[in-house]
Amino acid sequence: MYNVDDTIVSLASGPLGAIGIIRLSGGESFQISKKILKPTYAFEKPVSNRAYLLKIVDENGKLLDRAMVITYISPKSYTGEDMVEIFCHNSPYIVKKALKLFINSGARQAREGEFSFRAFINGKMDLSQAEAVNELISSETEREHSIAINHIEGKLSVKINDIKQSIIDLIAEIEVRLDDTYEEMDDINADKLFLATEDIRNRIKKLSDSFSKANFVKNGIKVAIVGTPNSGKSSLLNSIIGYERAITSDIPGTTRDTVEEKAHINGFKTLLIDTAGIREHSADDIEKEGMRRTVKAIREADVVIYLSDISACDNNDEKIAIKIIEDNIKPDAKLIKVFSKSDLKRKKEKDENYIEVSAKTGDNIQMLMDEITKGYEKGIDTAYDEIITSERHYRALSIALNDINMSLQKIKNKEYELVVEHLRSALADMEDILGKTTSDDVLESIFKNFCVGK
Amino acid sequence: MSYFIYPEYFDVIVVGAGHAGIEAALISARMAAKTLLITQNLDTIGQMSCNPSIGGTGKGQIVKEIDALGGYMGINADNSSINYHTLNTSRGPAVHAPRAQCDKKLYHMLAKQHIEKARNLFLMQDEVASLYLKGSKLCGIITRRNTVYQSKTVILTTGTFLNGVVYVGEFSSKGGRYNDPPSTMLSGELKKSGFNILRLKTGTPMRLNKRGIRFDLCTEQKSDAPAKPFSIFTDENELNRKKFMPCWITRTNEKTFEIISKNLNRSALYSGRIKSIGPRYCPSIEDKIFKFPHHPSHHIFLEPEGFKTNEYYVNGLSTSLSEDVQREIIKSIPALENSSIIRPGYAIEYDLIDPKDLNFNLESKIMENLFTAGQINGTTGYEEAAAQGLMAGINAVLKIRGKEPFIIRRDEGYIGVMIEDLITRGVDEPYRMFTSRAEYRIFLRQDNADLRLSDYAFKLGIFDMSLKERFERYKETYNNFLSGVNSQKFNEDEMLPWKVENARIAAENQKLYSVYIERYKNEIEKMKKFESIRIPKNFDYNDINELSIETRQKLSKIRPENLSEAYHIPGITVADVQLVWVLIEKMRYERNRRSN
Repeated sequence: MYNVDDTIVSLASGPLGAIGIIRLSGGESFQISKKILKPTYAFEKPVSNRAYLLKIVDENGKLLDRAMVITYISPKSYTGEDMVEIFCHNSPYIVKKALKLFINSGARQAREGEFSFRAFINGKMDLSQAEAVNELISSETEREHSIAINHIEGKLSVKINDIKQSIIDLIAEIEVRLDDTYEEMDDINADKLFLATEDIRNRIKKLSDSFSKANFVKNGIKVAIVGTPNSGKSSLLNSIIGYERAITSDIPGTTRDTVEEKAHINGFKTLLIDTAGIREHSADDIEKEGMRRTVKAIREADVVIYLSDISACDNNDEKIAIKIIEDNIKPDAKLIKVFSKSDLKRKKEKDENYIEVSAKTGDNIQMLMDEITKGYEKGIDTAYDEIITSERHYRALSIALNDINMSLQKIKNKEYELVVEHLRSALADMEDILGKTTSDDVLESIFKNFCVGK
Repeated sequence: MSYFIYPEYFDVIVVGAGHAGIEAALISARMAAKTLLITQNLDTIGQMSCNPSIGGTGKGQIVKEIDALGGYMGINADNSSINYHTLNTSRGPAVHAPRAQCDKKLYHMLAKQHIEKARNLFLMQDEVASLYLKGSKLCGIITRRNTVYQSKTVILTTGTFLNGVVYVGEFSSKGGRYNDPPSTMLSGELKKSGFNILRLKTGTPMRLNKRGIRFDLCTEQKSDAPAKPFSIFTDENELNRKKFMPCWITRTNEKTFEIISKNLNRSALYSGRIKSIGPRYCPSIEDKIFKFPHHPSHHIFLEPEGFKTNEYYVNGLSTSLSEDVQREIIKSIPALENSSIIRPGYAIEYDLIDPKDLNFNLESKIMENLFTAGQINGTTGYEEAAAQGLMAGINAVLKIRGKEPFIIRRDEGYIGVMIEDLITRGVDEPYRMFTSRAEYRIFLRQDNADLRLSDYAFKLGIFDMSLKERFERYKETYNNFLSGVNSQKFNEDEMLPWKVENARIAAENQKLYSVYIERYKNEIEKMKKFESIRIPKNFDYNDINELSIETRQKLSKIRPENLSEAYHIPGITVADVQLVWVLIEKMRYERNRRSN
């Protein structure tokens, strides 16, 4: 666990852009700032949310930069503690030097997620929001950023809260009858209960399914580039990522292993996998191993690019390659057929199912990249507000789902006290995500919705 | 003013002889502590002020637990029973709940006689006016007649009597129950001593003369056959030779609805004269009609108040409406229109202390050696009161003897659930037990109360050691059933009052639920771990800036003794507990470092 007694400092902005933001949080924030930010009047009697134009000076009193400084007074700040934010020029030298000055004056370099942790500890956000902030910090692409932002705004919290309330109402519906001393209530309507429980299951399932959907946002779209030896797989990969990574040569079979490379395509994180070429007779054991990995890459890929050399005649290896792809591709994966080396003399007939690209000239590479991300935009846009990206949330939801399924079974057997056991478990899982405990929520719902008692 | 200093010195003084007071006094005397029971009126000992029944969902389990700990309620309910009806028999055994109708007068008479006969127990009719303090040290009590009784501990079980006010429509008068006078001095004295005094409300329906009730228009509810007694000490065969009386069910109708909605302004509750909150579970008929206007009709249970009276309790018509409206209500119901009200229903407001100011042994945090039990702690119900009385009585004796307090955990009994809820959450309405309050409901069954708790009764010296061997045989028989060993080693005579059949049922139910009980284990382990980590008495939450202000305030007020107690305070998260944990560890680390 983090230490929460001291004052922490960290660069809050990324390496790009004109402004660098340094953030300071903790009881000593103002004391420490006094030593570096001049004049010091801003910290003598600090005012909440007030902006100042101050000088950053080094240990010898030499001016480092002029910066916009905002003071926040506990608890009215992001972390709930006293805070100072410094907006300086974003030169690596200025930023590094400023951070060093703060650290030398008594602040500690914040660890990853530590500001969010303090905000959580101080009741500024619930657990799911805190995690989202961590993801925001580590988000690399715009897409991820957008998902993380939605989380922070508590959309996930709202969803989970809604599900939680539905479970509470359902429990109340049963409990009111189990606790009915005068047996006044009409008996439980098992069909209605089953439907309501099913509805909850579907809502949880949708959320937990979004985890695998959202996986490509976090971990990247997996793109396997597959083809016969020397079909130009490595060149294509290099052309997409813009530099030489895979070893390319004109000798067929150079890439005997799969080579993975991260790239951002149209704002999506992607994982490009350059595979060993497929041919009828693999020469040696190493190549056989390469083949095995190629098949594995096809099986795991979200997008498979089949690459065929436009300057080569149709051959048996190509037929085998297509067959291997068709046999192993995931049912929901996308297959893009590509003719490579369009700058060379054509030996293949035109085929409208193929995109013709040239790694050498860059011809149609953008079109291919659009084709790779096509569909993902749509899928992700509609799913924005309900995407689970945290492993912990996914786990909690999976356990909850299991319990809901069990309770459906128990409803069929009319074992209502056990239905409640499973619903209570599911409820606890929802609370795990939100980091909140219930008290008399069920009774609250009973008294609101049912007329009972002597 | 001259005082009579009573020449004898007591270990425990119990104030009030209701359901809490009876248990407290009896158990304390049974544990060989010299005990004085003071009540305003000996003729209302063990009075059932509201419905003539014991048990029900959650409550029935509590009665079984009281019995397993050597308490009196189950025995007395059996001895005065009118009929038995176990609830939820169509559902799983975890929610089976025994309930019995009782003869009110008989219940009182038997309790009174039992107390009169009890060794070490002394009885006095008087009203307690104030606590007897030397400085701030509690040394006994002073009565209205200026008698000083000295003792080491005092247990207050004042029920609804502290500054009680009775309401019937526009009429109101000071009273602790119907025409019984309230206790007017003690509450003010407690306030002076620094207690937080709260106020709650409860109510009761009218009583009818049986003459004129058209039972032919009602549905009969017969006693279970055979009836299952609450207490293991009750002879089941003898019990079933008794002639039981049935209860009857009828309903309110649209006319009743109309009368009540027209006269809502004449209810003490709705005219704003009563400001305190009543139990939501036990709503008045005007509450039901106001809050659930779409219900055209409500159940009414007619319950006999005794074998030797014509009086019937009209369960479901609790009200603070004026007398003439009460009469109209009765006239609107065909089965009742020819009967007459012999006591009107009323609402009652009373003072209580904030249960958050209690320790887990039911001793006050504000005044050492003062214990409280029952409605004064914010509960409603005879069973809830009795259970607290029992726990307060046991703990007062343990306190005197310098022994560790006796605390039942949430996973051991409903009694533990109740006391922890009261202390960590406080009350904003009278607290009634529900099975839904118990996280470990599947395990906290009425069939295994003795297996869960009776070992404690032996350890505490409540059960005679001559029974110990028999109980061990019972447990062994249970374990054999549980593990499927069929050979029966002991016959019933060797384990009475425990029975082979009970061991078999308890084992069967345990097996039925084993998967679920297994699931509890992790949670219980976590709780035990939290429990073993004590929070230092001087721990200052106000210095922990990382806790929200609300959390700091809660923890500072309740001052949990260990992390488990902290964990059960509503609104306290696991993260809060972990943080406190880390800080405790840090304190210890620093202390060790300094001392090295």
